Amino acid sequence: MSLLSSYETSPNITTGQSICDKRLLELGQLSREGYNATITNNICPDSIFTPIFASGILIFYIVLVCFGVFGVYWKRNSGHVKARHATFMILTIVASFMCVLLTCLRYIVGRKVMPCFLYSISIFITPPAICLPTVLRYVRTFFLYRLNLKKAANVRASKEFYIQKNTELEKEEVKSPTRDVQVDLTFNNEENNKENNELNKAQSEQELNITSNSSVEKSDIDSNSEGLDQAYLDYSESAMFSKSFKILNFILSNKFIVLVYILAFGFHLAVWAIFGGVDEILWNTSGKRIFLWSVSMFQFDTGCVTTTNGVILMVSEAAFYIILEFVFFILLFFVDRDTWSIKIEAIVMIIIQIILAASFLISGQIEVIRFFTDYIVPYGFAALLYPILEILISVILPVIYAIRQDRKSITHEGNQMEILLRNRETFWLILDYARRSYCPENILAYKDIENFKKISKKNRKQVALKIINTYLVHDSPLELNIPNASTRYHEINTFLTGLVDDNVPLDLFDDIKLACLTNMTDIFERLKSSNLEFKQKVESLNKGQ
Amino acid sequence: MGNIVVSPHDKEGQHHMMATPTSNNPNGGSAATAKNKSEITVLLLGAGESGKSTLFKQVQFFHGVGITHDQERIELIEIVRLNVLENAKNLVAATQHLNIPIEQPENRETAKLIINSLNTNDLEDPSWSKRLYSLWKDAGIQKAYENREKFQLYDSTEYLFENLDRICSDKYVPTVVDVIRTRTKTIGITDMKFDVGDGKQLRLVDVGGQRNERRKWIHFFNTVDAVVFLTSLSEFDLNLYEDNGYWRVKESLRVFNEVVNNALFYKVPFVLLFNKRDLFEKKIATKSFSKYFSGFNEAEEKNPVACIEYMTKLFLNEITEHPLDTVSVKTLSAIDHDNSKQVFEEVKQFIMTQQHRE
Repeated sequence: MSLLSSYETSPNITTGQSICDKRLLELGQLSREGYNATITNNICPDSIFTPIFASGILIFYIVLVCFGVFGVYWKRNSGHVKARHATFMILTIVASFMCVLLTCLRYIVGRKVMPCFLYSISIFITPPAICLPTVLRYVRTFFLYRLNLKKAANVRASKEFYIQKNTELEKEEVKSPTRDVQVDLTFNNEENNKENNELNKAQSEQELNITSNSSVEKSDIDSNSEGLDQAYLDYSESAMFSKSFKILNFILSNKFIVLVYILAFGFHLAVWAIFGGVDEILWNTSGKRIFLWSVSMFQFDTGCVTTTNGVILMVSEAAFYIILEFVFFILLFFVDRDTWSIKIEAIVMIIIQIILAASFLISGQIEVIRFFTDYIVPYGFAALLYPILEILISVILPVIYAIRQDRKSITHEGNQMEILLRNRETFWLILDYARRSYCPENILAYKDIENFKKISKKNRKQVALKIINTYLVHDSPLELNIPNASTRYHEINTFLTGLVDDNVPLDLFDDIKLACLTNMTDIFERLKSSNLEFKQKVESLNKGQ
Repeated sequence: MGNIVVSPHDKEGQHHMMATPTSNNPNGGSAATAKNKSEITVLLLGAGESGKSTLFKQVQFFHGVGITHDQERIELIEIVRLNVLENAKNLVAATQHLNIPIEQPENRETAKLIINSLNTNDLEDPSWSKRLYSLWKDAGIQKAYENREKFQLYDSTEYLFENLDRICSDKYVPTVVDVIRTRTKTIGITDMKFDVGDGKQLRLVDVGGQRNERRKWIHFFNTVDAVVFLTSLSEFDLNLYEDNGYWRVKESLRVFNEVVNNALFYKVPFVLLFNKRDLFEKKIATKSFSKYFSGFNEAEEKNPVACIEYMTKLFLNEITEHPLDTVSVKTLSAIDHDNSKQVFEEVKQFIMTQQHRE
């Protein structure tokens, strides 16, 4: 390693006094150490700006982290979060939080005080902490794509098969028992598969839409999408046992990510220990330190600063990971779709990484920076910029996309109507008006379907049955004005009574909900033209959007 | 408060029903005091999509209520565009259902967007006018349109597609015709009052026509002074919206039978309006009328007068209880403003004279 041969050979190393810019010693009140500023272990006295900036950054960063964690949890069901995988996002946050916390704490408590071993560990660990999340994200995106390719091919094949089978079964009327068995089998598969399945299902459905537009035809929608599910289940049942699927699924599992993280950090800690040992030996034999100025890497009672070698070590570690990122980035180019803008994100992140690593390396070589400005605005902040940007770009932004998308889908599906129905005050206005116009059933059904989505799994089946018995049964007082209500009733009823477990799909009533909203168009317009208060509310809502 | 049960049978409701433009009249639903009352309640009844609300809108319009003003119609932009989207969606879905491919690749692209993501706000962009029109003119879509009796489609489809250049613009203000042509399924019951001279007010009640809506009609039956029953002439080749396997004419006859023979209406003037005459005449020019009515002379099937005469007989045959001299039969084209005005004037005169006779 070239690192070991390039010793720090500053002529001032022993005298120490002249290494720092004189101005740092003359800062007076602006110096952290006041008028008695000294230089210890080649650590210059900090200005008071260092802890101020560091605390500012740390506070800002903690706010970001909180928002990120909360956002990921809140939007965990959104495609934007799912495509990036919540575990990944949280681990990204954890890794970068460690870097930022260590660095900022060092600046806040003072470089002379912060235990040196913590600092030396952070030098070794920062590059993987920064780069690993990105690498793993690419790996995941790529393998997810591979897995979906295989699955989609399978779904397509078995869908045709299923449609044939389905029609035969319908004739024989033995449809439900067969289905039960299959549903049962799949839902008992391991947890993380289910998540992948959902994502994959959405994607393959999209693909099927393009080729056969299966979900387009309204009257076919129920039977067809059921067919699709079924086909999917059929496939997953057999596919789970194939070896390549197992490997792919392992790579995509939480276990794999956590394992890689543990291995990587273990490895870097080991490297740190070995380098520290070598450093000790060299110190004992030749009286020179490799990475730190005259302090042992294992020292816990004083602080220390890095030599150029330390900077080079960090940058070369980073370079290794950036190369790794490049390799997987090239693989990413084979992923055809970029629905969740992960590709763009990847390019941006790599460019930022290179720029920051380069600027960190260059700043580490310039004396004015190292011995003067570093003690006012530490150039270590350049390295911190990355974790901050990373959280912004790969956690906060996706959460914002998700929020925006969810908002858009509200306006898309139910215009302003859903917003007005979610608002307590306008909800009662609408319901009261509908009641007086003899059509509250649409609003009540809408509300019940919304509530259905919130209740626990255990009660879902019961509530679902109640919903169809209230709103779909022919001649019930609250029967909905929707096409083929009784056919729908029988379909859903058969499905529900045939269910062995409590896995009632949450989207069971989505098309009925949409029909309710469409029905409400009339009542909504009538209310708008007759109730000024309501009209104003709608207008203010429109302006707010 | 979550479990307030609101029943459509709520009797209270009638007193609150005045939420329509003339709603500030305090002596609302008090029609029971027969003879010299100042308010005449007229029910517009009929199966789904027979044109009740269209006529209702026309009456509003020629009484200077509601849609007369630009400002009121601007409110309806969303509804018109929603109609455009629904028509487009239904047509695209029909091409799938009927196995008719959309021919041009760029139109297939448009169809995909319509199904997946297009919303009414997008239609502000004039480029959609061209895209949607090109889709409309696609041979596949046109073929599906020719077979529109096989699925559910609004009558206004052609009209809306031909007017896309106006509708897809950020300056779009719906015209009165646009609003009249737009279909919004009526749910529940709504009413409107206007002066008809002699210090009298006419209260027109519009209702939803689908099966589940009809159960609500009963709430108005005992306060009624006249019934106007609409039926669509052009539905002879169509099936029901609420039940795709049921012939619309059969349903209309059944509903008519139930209403006209209802004991509450024995003494009430009854008007039967054969609506959509315009569409009907166009339709029988290309489609066989006699195919649907075995008792009809095939040689006469291109003659609208003969067809309407036959339909009239069919309906009048259903009357078993109601005195025939208080039943009037007319044809109507509710989307035609002048025709609606004239027919409604006649209906009004008929009702008034019947009232005087009593």
